Amino acid sequence: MDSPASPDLHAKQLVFARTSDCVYRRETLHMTTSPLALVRQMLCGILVAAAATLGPIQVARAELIATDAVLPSPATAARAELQAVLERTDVRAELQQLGIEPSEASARVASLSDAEVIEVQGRLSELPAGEGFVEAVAGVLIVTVAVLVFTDLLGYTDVFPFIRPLDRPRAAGEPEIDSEPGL
Amino acid sequence: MSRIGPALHRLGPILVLLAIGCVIPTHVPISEGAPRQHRILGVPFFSQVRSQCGPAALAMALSYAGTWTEPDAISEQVFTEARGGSFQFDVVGAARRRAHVPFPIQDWDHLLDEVVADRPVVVLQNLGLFWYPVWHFAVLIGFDLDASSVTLHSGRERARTIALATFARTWRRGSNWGRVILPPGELPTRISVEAALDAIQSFERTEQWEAAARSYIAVTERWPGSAPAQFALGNALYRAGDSRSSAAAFEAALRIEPSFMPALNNLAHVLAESGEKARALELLEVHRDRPGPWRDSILRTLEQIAEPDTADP
Repeated sequence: MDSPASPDLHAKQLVFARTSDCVYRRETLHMTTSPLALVRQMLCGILVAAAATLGPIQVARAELIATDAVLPSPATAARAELQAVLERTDVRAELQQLGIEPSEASARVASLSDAEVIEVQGRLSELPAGEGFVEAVAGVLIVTVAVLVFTDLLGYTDVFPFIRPLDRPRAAGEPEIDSEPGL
Repeated sequence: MSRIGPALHRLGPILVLLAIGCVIPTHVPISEGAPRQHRILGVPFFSQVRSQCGPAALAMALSYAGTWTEPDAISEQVFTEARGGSFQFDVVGAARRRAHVPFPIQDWDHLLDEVVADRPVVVLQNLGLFWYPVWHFAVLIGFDLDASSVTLHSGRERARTIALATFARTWRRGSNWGRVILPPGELPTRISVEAALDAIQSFERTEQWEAAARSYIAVTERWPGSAPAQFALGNALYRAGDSRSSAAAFEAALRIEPSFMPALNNLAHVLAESGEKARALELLEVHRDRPGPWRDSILRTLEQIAEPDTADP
């Protein structure tokens, strides 16, 4: 058996091997100052930082082929892995901007799959955040409240728990609902 | 009359929109022959504190699944103060961190199926409208198709019964997002083998290898013909430190699919590490010239095992 530290070490070396050509390019790009070059430089920087801080990625053991290298199409797996490293760092930073402690932000990101990370990256400001009804109604225009009361009464919405829709539940038989109005 | 007139005038556009919506009927897509009603008994209820419906909903699901969890204990992992709410991915991630595997709900039939199987479902609803969303996590604990109603542990109300149609609309506005939170070794009532493996693999990120292996075993039992399931099980067992069972799983994968090279590659590694170098080399030699995406890996492994110093501990 290998020593317990070796797979981690190897994973890091893997990433560094991949990022090394990127670091090299960074020097050559330094001469040109086109916006594209700057963006690439930044990406390289993030990647190197990610490699240094994230530790092992999905490399099961140095030599064993990891499950996620096989289940999605193997050709894209390596590229996706690299992309996921970048975006893990991004999502962690986004969470920290929302006031989540760095260690907790890391732990949250670490519990997500690559696909999930890629899905939420850059979208934290627009993603739904379940909150419920109480705070949601505070500080809202009276017109909006009126509309919501109205739609609650019709059973289109359910913002106010104390409002019961006017129409009684349908009689036994096929459950049928009306399609949503364009509100 | 003079007072109602202007009011109607103002409400006019809304009424028109509602009217347009009302004339196009759609159905809640539920198959014939499904049970008409069921209510899960004994789902613990935690009242939502402030806007913490996410921690409350997850705590109820976890506690019912066997890991007693109070909302306070997971609030830090689920709730995001700056957004005044909880993200879906944090609900899912926190479940994994508590050694439970979240599985996605596929559709209406599946949703009701899980309830019938006595599994509460965490659902995301948009209680408001698309231009004024009120996102909310609740726990579905029952339904009654004859009465056209569903029952939820929601917000501050235990076992709140609402119209099926209202739930259908608010759930649809939440993109029909639902998750069953299951202990390791359990699978949802309906799922494809691919989706099951994907969910367990996502859980694996938390490096709880034994728990992941238990779930993979459940997959291999439900789909005995799945080589990828045996392969994933082999990897999880290896990481859990059980080389012997790991080798057995890789062997099972190869019995199902003899040309499944990743399983062959990994089996050779495990055998070589357990002192069965000759057998490992023999296996690899047979397949060394097989073309395909894994050829390089096989050749590298062969090289490594053949070298006296690198393969032995």
